Amino acid sequence: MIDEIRSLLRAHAALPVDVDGVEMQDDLYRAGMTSHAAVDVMLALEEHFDIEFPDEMLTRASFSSIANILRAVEELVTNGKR
Amino acid sequence: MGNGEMATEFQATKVHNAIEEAHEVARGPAAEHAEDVDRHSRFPVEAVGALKARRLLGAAVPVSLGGLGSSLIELASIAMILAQECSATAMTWSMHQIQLACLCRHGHSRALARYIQRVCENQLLLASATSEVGMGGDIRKSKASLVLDGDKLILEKRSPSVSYGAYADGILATVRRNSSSPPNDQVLVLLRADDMELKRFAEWDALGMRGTCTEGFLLRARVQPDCIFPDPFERIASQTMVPFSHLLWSACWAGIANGALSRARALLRERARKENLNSLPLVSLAKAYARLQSTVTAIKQAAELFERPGSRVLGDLWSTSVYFNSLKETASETAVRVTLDALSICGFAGYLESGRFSVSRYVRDALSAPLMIGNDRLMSSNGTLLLASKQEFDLLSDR
Repeated sequence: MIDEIRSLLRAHAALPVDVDGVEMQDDLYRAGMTSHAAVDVMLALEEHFDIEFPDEMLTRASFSSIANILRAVEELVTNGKR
Repeated sequence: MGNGEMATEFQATKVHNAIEEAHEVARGPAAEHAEDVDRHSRFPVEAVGALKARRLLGAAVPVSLGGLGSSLIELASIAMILAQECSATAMTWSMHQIQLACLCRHGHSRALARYIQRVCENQLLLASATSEVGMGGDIRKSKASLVLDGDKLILEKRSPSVSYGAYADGILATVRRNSSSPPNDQVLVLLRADDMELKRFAEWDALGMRGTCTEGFLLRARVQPDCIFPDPFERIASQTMVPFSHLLWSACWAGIANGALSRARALLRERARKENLNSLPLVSLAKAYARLQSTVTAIKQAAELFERPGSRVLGDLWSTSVYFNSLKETASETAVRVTLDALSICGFAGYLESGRFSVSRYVRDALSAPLMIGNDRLMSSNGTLLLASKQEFDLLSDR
């Protein structure tokens, strides 16, 4: 799943740096991801994993690191399967 | 009477006082000099002096740190009261409160906390330098960065619009974290008078808001490391700066609209004494008041929701961003519409630059609202965020 997330970030986060060089806990905004790019990433995650982010999870923090994105996606994928 | 009751009564007195004091400043020096402030594009020194004398600059700061502990609704009330008489006084005071709110909510360092106390003790005035030449009005990107020069951190930035910068004791400026940071990796820094040098490169001569003295400055400053806010600017912006800005600006614009309508009402009242008024201007007046009432209610609700613990309107949510952008857009459009309605009602007397029923200045001031920040930019942002969310609008239940 982490590879899929990195791949989506590569395609949609518009980072000025190589996604492979970004660590799990690195701040993606500090790495150059704008709020608009975060929205693109979020839409791509929803499409790819067939999930839906509820309002409460649409926060700055949800997309601020690969680790946070992973946590959010895992939670939504699990809830979806129930 | 127990301690709890006394404390409540004291607090209630403090609240009542702040609003009363604001009324007195508004009716007094703000009203007295508003025309001159506008005509000569000069800073409202008298009214701001009165605000300082009455300790109103510390309104947003908790009582424990030396401020008045005003709630967001009280802040909005004061902004609106001042704006009815002088937009420059209201905007200056409001923008200062916004900077103070950033300090109070994100100033997590000894130096920043101490500065808050100094602001209250000495009634210091704080300005904001978020704009930058070449950034096209986008305050979420910076070109200038903090630069290490030996053991000193230096900031050098060209800000085209620093309201009342020449009159401020301190400035909160955005800047890139360091010279290798991407444009949106910004920090907020406090620049105190002793640390900085301002060189004006652009004067202020505008259609309205003429007393805000929103000049362009080259800022050169030495930045103390403990004057750098620890939170990234993006977080300070979404949690505090944007909600407070949109709320207090909207309150100012509502005050401007209220001031204009008040004159229209006074004119019609006087005419009604001498002649039978045809219903047209009365209907126009009533419709304008209805519009204004909607906006003022929206401001009040926004303030309540934002401050209520457990509320869904929290700075971190994308939906909150949408909410405050919407409030700002509505308030700005209403202010323009209502002041133009007042002009239409007042007619010739309204069109003049002075006189009891002049609303020219109100119209000109209101016209700044859709531009500050550009509504198109905000609505474009909202459009994108609204695509992201699937939830339908459910603010009445505030679940």
